[in-house]
Amino acid sequence: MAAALALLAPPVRDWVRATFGQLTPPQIAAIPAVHAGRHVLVSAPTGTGKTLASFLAVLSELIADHQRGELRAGIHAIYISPLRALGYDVQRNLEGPLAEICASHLPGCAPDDVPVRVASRTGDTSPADRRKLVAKPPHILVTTPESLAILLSTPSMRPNFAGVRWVVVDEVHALAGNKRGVHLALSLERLAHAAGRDPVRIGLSATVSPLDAVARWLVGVNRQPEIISWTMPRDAVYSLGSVLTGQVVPNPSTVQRGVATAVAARVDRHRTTLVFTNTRGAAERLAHRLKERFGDNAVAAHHSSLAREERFSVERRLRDGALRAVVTSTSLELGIDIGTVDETVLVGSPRDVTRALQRVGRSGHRIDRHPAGHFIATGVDDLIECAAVAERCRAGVLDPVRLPRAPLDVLAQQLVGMSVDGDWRDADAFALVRRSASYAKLTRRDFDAVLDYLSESSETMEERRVYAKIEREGRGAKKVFRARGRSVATIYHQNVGTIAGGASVRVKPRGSSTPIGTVEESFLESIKPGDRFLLGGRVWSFMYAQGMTAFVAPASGRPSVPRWASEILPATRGVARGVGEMRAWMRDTLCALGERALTGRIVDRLGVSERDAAALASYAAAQQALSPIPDPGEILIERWLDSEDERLVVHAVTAPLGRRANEALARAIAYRIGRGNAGLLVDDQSFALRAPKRAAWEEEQLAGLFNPSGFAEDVARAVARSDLWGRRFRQVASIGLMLVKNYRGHSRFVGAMQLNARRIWSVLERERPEFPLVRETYRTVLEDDLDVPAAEAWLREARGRITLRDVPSVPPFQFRLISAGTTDAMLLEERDAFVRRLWESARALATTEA
Amino acid sequence: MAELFPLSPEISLAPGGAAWIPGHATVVIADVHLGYARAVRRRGGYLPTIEHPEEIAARVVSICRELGAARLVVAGDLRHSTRDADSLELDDVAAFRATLLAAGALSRVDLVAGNHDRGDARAVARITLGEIEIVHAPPASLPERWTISGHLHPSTTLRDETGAGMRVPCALVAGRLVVLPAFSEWAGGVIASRLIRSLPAAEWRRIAVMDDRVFEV
Repeated sequence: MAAALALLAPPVRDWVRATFGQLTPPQIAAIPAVHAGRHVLVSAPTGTGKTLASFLAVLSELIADHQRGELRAGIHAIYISPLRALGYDVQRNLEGPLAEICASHLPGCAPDDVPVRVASRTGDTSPADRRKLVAKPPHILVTTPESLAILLSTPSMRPNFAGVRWVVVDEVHALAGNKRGVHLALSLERLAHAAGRDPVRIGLSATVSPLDAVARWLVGVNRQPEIISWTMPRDAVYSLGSVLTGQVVPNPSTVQRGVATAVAARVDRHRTTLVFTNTRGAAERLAHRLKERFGDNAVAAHHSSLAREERFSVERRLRDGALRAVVTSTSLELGIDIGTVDETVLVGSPRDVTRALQRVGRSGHRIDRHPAGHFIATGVDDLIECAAVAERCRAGVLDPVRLPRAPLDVLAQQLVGMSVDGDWRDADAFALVRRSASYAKLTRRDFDAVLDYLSESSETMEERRVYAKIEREGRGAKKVFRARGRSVATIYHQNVGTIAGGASVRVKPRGSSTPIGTVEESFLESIKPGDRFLLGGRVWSFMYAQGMTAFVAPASGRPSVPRWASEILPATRGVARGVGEMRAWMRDTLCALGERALTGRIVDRLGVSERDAAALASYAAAQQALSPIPDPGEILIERWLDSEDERLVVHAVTAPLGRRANEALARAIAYRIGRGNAGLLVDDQSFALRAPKRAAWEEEQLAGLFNPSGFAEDVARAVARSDLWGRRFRQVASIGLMLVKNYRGHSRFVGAMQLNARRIWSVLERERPEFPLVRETYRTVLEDDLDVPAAEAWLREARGRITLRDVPSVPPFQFRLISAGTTDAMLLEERDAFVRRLWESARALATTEA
Repeated sequence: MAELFPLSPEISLAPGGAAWIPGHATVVIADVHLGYARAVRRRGGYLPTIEHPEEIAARVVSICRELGAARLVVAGDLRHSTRDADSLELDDVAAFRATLLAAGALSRVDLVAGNHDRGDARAVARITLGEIEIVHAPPASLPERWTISGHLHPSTTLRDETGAGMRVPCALVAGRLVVLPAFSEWAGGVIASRLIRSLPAAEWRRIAVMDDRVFEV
């Protein structure tokens, strides 16, 4: 430690001694690395001083420069957080120490003239502050990935980036596995270009796996990262409860009441409790119920659809200890400073071990306090899954993150951003893009195809001149591109980023200037004046809408809950497998020792109550009696007649792989059967096909249906017959700036045509299959949305171990699939044949009626 | 010849999305939205031009030939841009008309003014053919006379017993009111059940209109 401290400039060193006395282990490791100018990834649990670890060396250099009189104007360090709110915390946590250093440890420093200045730029920053940023840039800039991209495409800002020395990326685990992270990685390359040097990259991450892949994402292909991983576990305590009602598929309102009672019991025991639900709607509902119990001012909701003022106020009251409980969906997962929380309560399985660790790590938020997590399962299947998650949390078994492979939509957007800088030689831009890990293997052909799309080279000369986004000039190695006109920067600024979402409507109390939050346009369409709904845990009555703002008044009574799209989280491979293993363990124990002994073993292994254990044991026994529980590496097919439509037969396949793999399996197998259309049901533990009886599976067929060879190809063919492409295309097209959401302040898709992404998809797919955003749609679905490798590996593992069993009715382990699995249907017939068949039956019907 | 779907002795629906009035040798189509792809490009997005106005006109001509029509009525929204039509879009309209008339089958092309056709001097508010009215937007209450309209771009989903489905354009019919599907390739169509809430009748027949057949769902 002394060595690390000795590297710091005296004022910073003195401040550390006076404030903390000592450095934490991640800080001891990080300071020398940053000091020596090495790129580092620091992985350590929340509350271990990571942020300061990254900044101490930076602050030290800046103070030393100042003391030598060499601190030049301009940005020296950039801090990037995926969450705006986190940026404000960091700004505060830098300004505080800087003021203290100035006041007590830096001779001659006036308190109103701290030499190192910090400023933030996010979507919330006012136009005046944005202009100030250009005219008088701070030494340390705090920003988000999207705002950084905008600043990089603001010509007046560019000189301020020259000479940037450090870039800190916080919450790396929330970025490394998705398109948002790919987008940021390209921005980091653009930043290095603008800086005219290679800034030292410092990544901060919660526990994440695999570290080397994440580090490669951070630094790109030609730089050497140093990995500092500090995993001394602050032994977290995990406990499990439930609201089991005795029914396998209980009534949702009974479950909601039970959850509220169970959560209230946890809140009673602690001073401050942080509650995670998996959806914003559930957070609203639960916050509302808890307010009834603990009072309006003791409980709050916090999620991403609440207005910034609302969220700030909740965070502040949480820090001040004024709240007993905060109910959140995901927005408090990341490291916003929330003060001291005694326990994290997780309602329903968090589906993912990394996420569970992160949520539980929000409690006991200091290095010397143990985090505590309490799961409240909402049903028997959920209880098994919560138990599997808790076991993996204790053992530290994480699911690996995967880096999206060269997404062309993100590339298109960033090339537009680059074009705003001025002339780019094609070859230079290509080289820059390939330095980022995700694009290391990007082909020149794909790169050129994206530039062709952006310059619309297929259209007539006249139109290209008027409407293309970029223009190109020259030939061969001298070929360059640049933005075509000033509106391009506007398009980029207003549509930057990869975060999807429908049009949202602001909700404002009448007569108030601050909004409460947002609801989706589709929700607003579904309510009429006088209808009540929940937002921020309070009841509002809808009065009227004006443009994209809905005016409301405080109300009371039974409210509805807004729906926000895209909220179903899939279980990860590891968690799904953990459930399959636990089911097989229950079977073995049951067969060897009987149901009563199983109850005892469940109490021992899971730490649940006797009552919950008995419910699980009887659930397993009921399944085992009807149809034996399979091993995770076995294929069990259960078949029964559909009770709703006797013409149909249901085949349910147990596959503990998670929804993303099961979706691939369900589609490929429906395709392989090749006899007519099929309804699909998919969840994390199994999938089912509903098909006419004539398409029932034969024993001899099974080996072929579940054959691993040719599987990936069949998935692709099957998906082509589904609506998956069309659904994903809207997002790809909006990231790729093909459908722009915002243009000159209008937040609308074009015109009264109800521009329908699926329709556009079907036209484009037919007419322009090589179009880059068409190909990116295929890639996103096949590589990011579906987990084809996991499905394929499972088919290989289970080869030769297939059982088909006819059962009289829905087996207990399939109840959840049948009642709550996501449903879809595959149109496997040729379009013409399908239409002809329906036409014929319509005609037959018309004839009978006549 | 593809089968027609008769609505009354005077009016049938024809494949391709047209109404056929044999007593007046007239074909009616609606919502062509010429220039749509370009309008998207002009607002910063991108759609390629898949079908040029000449090709769209050729589609219309082939329907008219098959039926033996002498007159075409476009029930509004021939072009897309409401305010800011550029010269390219006006060229599209001219090319469309020219191709229609040059083919020789049609002797007359009329346009009912849609909300998108502002400023087109040739557009009229409504066209009356004997007892049949042709307008753009469907009226607020069910009419007494047969009325052919467009504007709403209705579509419906065909489903079989497994739930497998396909979204197709459709015509809506209630009493003597007909709402034609959009003729534009790009129109995704608005699902009929969503439209019906704001229409002047509770019960609507949905008639799927494909390129080669027309049938009731």
